[in-house]
Amino acid sequence: MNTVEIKNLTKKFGSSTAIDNLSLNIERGKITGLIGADGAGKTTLLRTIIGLLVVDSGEINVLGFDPVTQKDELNLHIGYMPQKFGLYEDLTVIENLRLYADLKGVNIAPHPNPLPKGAREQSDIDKMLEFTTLAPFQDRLAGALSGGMKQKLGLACTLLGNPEFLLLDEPSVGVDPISRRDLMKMVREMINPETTVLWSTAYLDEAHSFDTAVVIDRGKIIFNGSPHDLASTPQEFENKVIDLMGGYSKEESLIAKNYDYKAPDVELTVEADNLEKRYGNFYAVKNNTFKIKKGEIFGLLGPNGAGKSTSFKMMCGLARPTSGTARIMGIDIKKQPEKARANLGYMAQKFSLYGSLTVRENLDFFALAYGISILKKEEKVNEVIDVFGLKEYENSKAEDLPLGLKQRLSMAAALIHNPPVLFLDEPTSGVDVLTRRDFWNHITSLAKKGVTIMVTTHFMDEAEYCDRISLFYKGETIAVGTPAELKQQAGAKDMETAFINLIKESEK
Amino acid sequence: MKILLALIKKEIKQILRDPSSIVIAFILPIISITIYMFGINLDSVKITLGIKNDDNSPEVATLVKSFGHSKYINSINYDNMEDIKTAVLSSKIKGAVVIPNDFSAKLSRGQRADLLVITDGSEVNTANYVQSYANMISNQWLAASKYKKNLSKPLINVENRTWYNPDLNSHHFIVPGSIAITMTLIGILLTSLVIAREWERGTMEALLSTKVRAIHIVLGKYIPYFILGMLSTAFNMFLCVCVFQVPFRGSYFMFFLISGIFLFTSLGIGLMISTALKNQFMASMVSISLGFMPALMLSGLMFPINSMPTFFQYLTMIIPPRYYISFIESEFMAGGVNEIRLANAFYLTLLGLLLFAGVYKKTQTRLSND
Amino acid sequence: MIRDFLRRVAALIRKEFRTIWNDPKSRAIIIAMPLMQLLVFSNAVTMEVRNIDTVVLDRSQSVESRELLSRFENSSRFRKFYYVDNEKEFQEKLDTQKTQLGINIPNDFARGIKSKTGANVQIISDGRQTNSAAIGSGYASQIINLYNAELTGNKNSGLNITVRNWFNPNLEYKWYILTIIVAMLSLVTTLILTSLSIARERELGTFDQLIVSPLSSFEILLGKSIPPLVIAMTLTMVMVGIVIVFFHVPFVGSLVLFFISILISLLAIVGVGLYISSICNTQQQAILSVMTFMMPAVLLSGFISPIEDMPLCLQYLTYLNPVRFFMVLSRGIILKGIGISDVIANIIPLLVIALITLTLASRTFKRKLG
Repeated sequence: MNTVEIKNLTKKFGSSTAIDNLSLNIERGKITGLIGADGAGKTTLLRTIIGLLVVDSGEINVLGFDPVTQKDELNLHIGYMPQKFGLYEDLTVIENLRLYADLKGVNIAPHPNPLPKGAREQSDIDKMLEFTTLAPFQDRLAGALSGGMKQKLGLACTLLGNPEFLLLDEPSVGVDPISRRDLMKMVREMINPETTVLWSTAYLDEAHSFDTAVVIDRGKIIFNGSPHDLASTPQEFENKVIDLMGGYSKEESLIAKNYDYKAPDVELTVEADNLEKRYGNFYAVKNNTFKIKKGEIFGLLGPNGAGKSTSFKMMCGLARPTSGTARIMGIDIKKQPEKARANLGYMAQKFSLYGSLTVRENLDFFALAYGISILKKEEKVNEVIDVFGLKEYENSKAEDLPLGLKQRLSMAAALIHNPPVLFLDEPTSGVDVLTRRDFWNHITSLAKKGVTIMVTTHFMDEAEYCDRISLFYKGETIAVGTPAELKQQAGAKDMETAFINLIKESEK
Repeated sequence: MKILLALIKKEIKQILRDPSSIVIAFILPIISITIYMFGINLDSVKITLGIKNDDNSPEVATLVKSFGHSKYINSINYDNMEDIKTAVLSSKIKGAVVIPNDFSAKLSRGQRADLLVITDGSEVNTANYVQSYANMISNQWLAASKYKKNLSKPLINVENRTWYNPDLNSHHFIVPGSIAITMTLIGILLTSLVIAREWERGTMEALLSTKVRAIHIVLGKYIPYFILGMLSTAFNMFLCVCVFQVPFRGSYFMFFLISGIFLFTSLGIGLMISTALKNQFMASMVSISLGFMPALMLSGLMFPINSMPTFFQYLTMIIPPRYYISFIESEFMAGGVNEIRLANAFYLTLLGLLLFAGVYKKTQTRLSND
Repeated sequence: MIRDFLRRVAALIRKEFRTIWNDPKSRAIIIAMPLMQLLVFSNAVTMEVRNIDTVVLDRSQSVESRELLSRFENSSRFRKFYYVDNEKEFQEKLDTQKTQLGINIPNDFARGIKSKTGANVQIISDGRQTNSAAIGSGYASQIINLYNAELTGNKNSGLNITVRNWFNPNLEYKWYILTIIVAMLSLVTTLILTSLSIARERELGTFDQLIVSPLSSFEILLGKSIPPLVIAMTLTMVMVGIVIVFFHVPFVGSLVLFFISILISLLAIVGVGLYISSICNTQQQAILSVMTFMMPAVLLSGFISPIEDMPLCLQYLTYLNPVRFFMVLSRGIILKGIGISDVIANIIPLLVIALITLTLASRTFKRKLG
């Protein structure tokens, strides 16, 4: 019994083909993972399955409905979580839940008050609040939630009404390992054996745990089967998928090779000195002190909402510290913000390039704004376009790019002027596995050349690339050291376990 | 129904949380009505006038005095034309009256005496005032002066009467007119952004995969802003009638009924712009150009529609404020005139329904291809 | 140093142009909206009262009354005449706004003229449009007075008032309103362009990236001011060109002074727009704040009623209003050819406004960081 049956589906946008003569069946009651390179057509496929986009040719049947003509009927049976989930940021958590409950026709009648003792007559919303551990935050505005909590809330809204068919478009992008487990647990526990799930993801360990994995590339299916048939461990699975996608061969990083690095005369290039950010009684960041040496890769790890991004923002002068300061190349960011920033490349967590400009126009702007001479600009822009594989998209508007490509563009913009210090806030979120390896190849090669890099990530395997890691929790540093030291301290084999153990320990 | 209710509740909460919509609905009316009341005056405007008197007979001195004493005029005496020219150039005076040296002599001889009135023609409005004030004051002076015996009494006596607004108080029509402007702002400007915003922020995609249908989206926008607009109308009315004591001779029921229809039509324009342009910059540019400015210029509030060339008179027929202004002025000053109510309500309803149909048809429940 | 500075500013300027200009739809809107409004408003809008429709109740039905009415029929100001034979119909025609003026001739009219004892004529105007009412009844009185003079043969005594309208001999309303429309349209376009520019970057999160770059506040300010200034300047010049070539408005002033004055006026408006933008977090807030600024600014600019006629506190307030000086300069240079000292007197307040708002804007960039 299939939930989705697709025959010879083709979808074009202008002259480019997003989905190319694709046929696919998705089995009822199974969790299917959708994997593919950036721009492979994952989001387009999900959107066509639920009728948000109309196909050019081919047949789709979803739960017995034709999404082209019976979209309204089909909507009653599905739950769809878009990549950029439509939470109303000016509504509170509970208001968002109530809104989506109403829109899906879910019973939200509040339980009779007073509730008989021991009664389990919970409304769906209460259940969701409990499940997502968002109950204490139910009156907070959705816009004020951390990234992980937003995703949980988005998922909760999607799960309301027990849809027969769940489509999740990269729900775990930018989510920390603990919350990621929570999300997975939520889905697995909230569904019944009849529910079909189609889950698009960049995390291959996630995909490995699913019943079926579908790998697509350039709008075509290149693998469809049980992930365990392909490999028995997540690590091996990742390598196999990389092979399927064309394989990765580590090459000399051209970025690093052409990087115009001028060695600074200071040894400690980045220093945080008792950085503190307080909102009322709440410490977003408390007493944060660290020093980063020239050429070091310094990782900031921690759950969503721990204060990593706030630290980043304070260190590049985007947020004013309540107390303490930071120095970049010995220059105080509070006293001479412009001078300090001139040494800095910053990649924000949220995509913050100009959506209405093309890829090339964005790079042109940042090249000149960062002081690259007009004669050299052309060469420099061509170089980063080449290295980051943006050639094909150079004249597309940035807002039309798939998530992974947006990240590549942001990274390209951050280091186009060859700064001696790079701040990268979740550079690999939403990026496909191949590109992630490529990113890290550049990052490590740059560090070897002497560039100082401060980076955050939620991929624990990536933490291994860091020279030193600071583990951040509730605004405070709870552990600092090399990856090996941290693992030892936590008594764990891999970083993910170390991360979880250390945080649990500090909770006590 | 439940879905619609949920969307309406959501929209109302969003309105309440963003102070800017409250400012437009309640603060701007206070500012603009106050300005209309105290800063704008279209009748008995007071202007500054230069006077150059070359005739030093004592009788003419009283003419100069009567210019000085007029409540419409602030007079400044000049000795030569050069100074007058400079003063007009720098807009210090809006015009001048020049009395020639043979003025009293001619009048004594029973001849017509010349009087030169100069106006600053670059400001046509005030130039007209200068003309009529100079005319009025000098003729009044003449009729009371010792030269009146030379005048013959006119045979036909003109009796001027103004109905509906006997003392020609311009506030009585311009202040109610400002209600129309505020309602246009709420109807068009506020809503022109709201659908565009849902697309820009990505909330539309999630909505479209739920039970929500086009009709819910459309009504879910119409109803909350309709409520906001009506509250603002009531507040405006309160300011006009209770605070500023503008006389209202019509029926409150009819006023709110037809205001409601007008609001429905304005919302249609705003939402039409918002569905067509999914970008807030373009939406605001278009809504000001096609919604707000015509409401100001072509609605008959400031410039008489009757004086426009025929083609443009027809053009005003597609501008909803035109009907509303006509209705509101009549309702305030003449009391209910059923024919005016009916005609304006009919056209407004027609336009409103057309726009509603248009908005409904243009509301997409899918993503577009580009 | 200076080369780096120029390069960075140039990069930002180019980026700003691209965001506004790349999209063909937005380009079309920026060009077409103001020009379309210029063409429509300049042709349609007038304060002159023309095409007056009149209802006549002639109870005299005499040669004399018909003679009087024929004067009205031959006047170009009057359009349609409705002859009614009872009070009820007379009132109905006025109530329903079918006519703007009523002439009521009593049955003893002919007798009064023949017996030289005097006769009465009642002129009734519709006070719902105070301005048109005053002007319309003025025309009517004029016609009757001319007839009066003919009847009495009184041409020898009285005043012979000569009116000279400087700068605009025939008091062409178009000359006046065109300079105002051009100023208004430049104002609207400039304010929308600038007020959304920073608010949009804040809403979409791109402003952080800009702050982190080596661009200083001053450089961002320059980069954000120049593109709207250039676009608005070009637009204004094109509009002035159209006004001169197609509407035959004489340009008597100095082109250089005009260019400088417009540039500085627009700079002050850019300052206001950027300041509004810098304090707003969303585009909606920005656009609604613009309206909250623009409404009072236009009303208190002196275009609707003269500034000297306002209460003193409002008069002082207008010194903060860039629109006031903008209108004085554009009208003054085009129509009156005001000289350098008058220009400077109006430019100084604009420069002060520009300086204050731009400084505030660039300071707010940084203060808004959490």
